[in-house]
Amino acid sequence: MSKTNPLFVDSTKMRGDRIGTQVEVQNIILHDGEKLFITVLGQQGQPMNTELEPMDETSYGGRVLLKHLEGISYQFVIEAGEARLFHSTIKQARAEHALVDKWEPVMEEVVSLMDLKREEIAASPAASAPSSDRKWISDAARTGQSLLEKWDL
Amino acid sequence: MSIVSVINQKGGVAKTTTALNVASSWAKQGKRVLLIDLDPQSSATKAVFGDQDFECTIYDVMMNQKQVEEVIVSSDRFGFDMIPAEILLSGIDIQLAAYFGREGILRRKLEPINRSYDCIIIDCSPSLGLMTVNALIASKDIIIPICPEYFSMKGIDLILSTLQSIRTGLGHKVGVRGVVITRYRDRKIAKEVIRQVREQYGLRVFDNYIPDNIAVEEAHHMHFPVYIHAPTSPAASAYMELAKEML
Repeated sequence: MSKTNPLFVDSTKMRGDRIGTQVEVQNIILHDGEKLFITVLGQQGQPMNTELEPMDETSYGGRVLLKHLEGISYQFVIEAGEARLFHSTIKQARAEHALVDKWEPVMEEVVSLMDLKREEIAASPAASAPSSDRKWISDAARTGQSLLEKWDL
Repeated sequence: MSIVSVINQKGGVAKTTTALNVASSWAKQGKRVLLIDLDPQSSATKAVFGDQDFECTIYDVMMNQKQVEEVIVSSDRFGFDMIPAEILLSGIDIQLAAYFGREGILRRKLEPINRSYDCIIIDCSPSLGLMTVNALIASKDIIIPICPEYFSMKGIDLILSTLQSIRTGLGHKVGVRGVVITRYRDRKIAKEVIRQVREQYGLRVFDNYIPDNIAVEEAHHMHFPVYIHAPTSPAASAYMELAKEML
C-alpha cells in the first residue's frame, strides 16, 4: 500500500462509503474450464470471492463493492472445477475506484486468503503496515528513543 | 464532440504551440473549436490575444463566479473560441482544497456548451495540480507532445502514472490519443526515442512530426497560427496534416 496523494482522492466520497471497485488483471491467459477469481478481505467481515470475466485476450475484469479507502487484502486465484490451480501472493491496497494488477502466480504453497482470518493476515510479514506507516512508526520510535537518551531516562 | 487535453508534465515541449496550431487547423477544416487555457502562465491566451487583459477567465468559472458562456471569447485570426487564463489560477488549489467534488468542476461546467463545439482542446499547465486533474477528468483522452530526447521518456512515465492514479483514485479512465513529436530534427537519437515510445509504451506516435522551424516561434510573436504566418513553411503543413491525423 502506497502513500495517498490527496489530488487523487475522490472528494465526493467519505471514507467508508460503499464504492464499486473495478478490478482488472492483465497479462493472463486461461485455458478451457479455468476460471479466475479475486478474493478480497476488508477490515471486517468474511472474504469475498468474485469471478472475473474476460475483457480482452489477456485481461480479465469485474466489480467488487468495497468501503472507500479501507485497507484490503486481495489475492487472485485460478480454479478449474473444485480444484485450485494457481494463485497470486496476498497483497494489500486501499479500496479505490479501480484495482489494476498484473497476473503473477506463485508456485510455492501460499495460504489461501479464503482460509485466513483477519488477525492472521495482520500478523503475517507480507501484510505488515504500509511502507509509509512503517516509516512513520520507525521515525516516531527513533524520536522517542533519542529523547529518552537525551533526558537520560 | 470530444474533449482532449494537451499535457506533458515536462516543460518546453511545445504544448501550447501544439494546442494552438492544432486547434486553428481544426477550425480551418470547418470544425467548431473551443480552446481552454488552463495554465496560470496564460501562454496560449497571450499567444492569441497579446497583452490584452480579460475581466473574466477560466478562474471565474472554476470559482463559480461566472457561467462558462460568459467567459468565452472569439479569435478571428485563429478561427476558434477560447476561454482565457490568468495568474490567479496558480492559487486555486488552495482555494478549492476543501470543495466537495473539486476534481470534477471543469467537467460539470463544460456540460452546457458541449454540443456547441465539435472539439474542445485544453492546454494544461506543466505542473500536476488540481487544474490538471480537472482537465483530465473532463477529457476523453489526451495528446502528449514530446521533443524526442532522453528526458521525454521520463515525462511519459509521469503522465502514464498520473493517468493510472486518476483511474484508481477518481474512477475516470483517460485514453492516450497519441504522441506528437515536436521540434523534430533528423537525428539518430530522435528516431531511437520515437521507436521506444512505440515499442516500450505501446503508444501511438502520430506520423506527422513537427519540424524544428523558426516560423513557429515567429507566429507566436505575431499572434497568428503558423499556417497564416508562414503558409509554405514545413511546420505549417506539418501541423495541418497532424490535425487531420488526430481527428
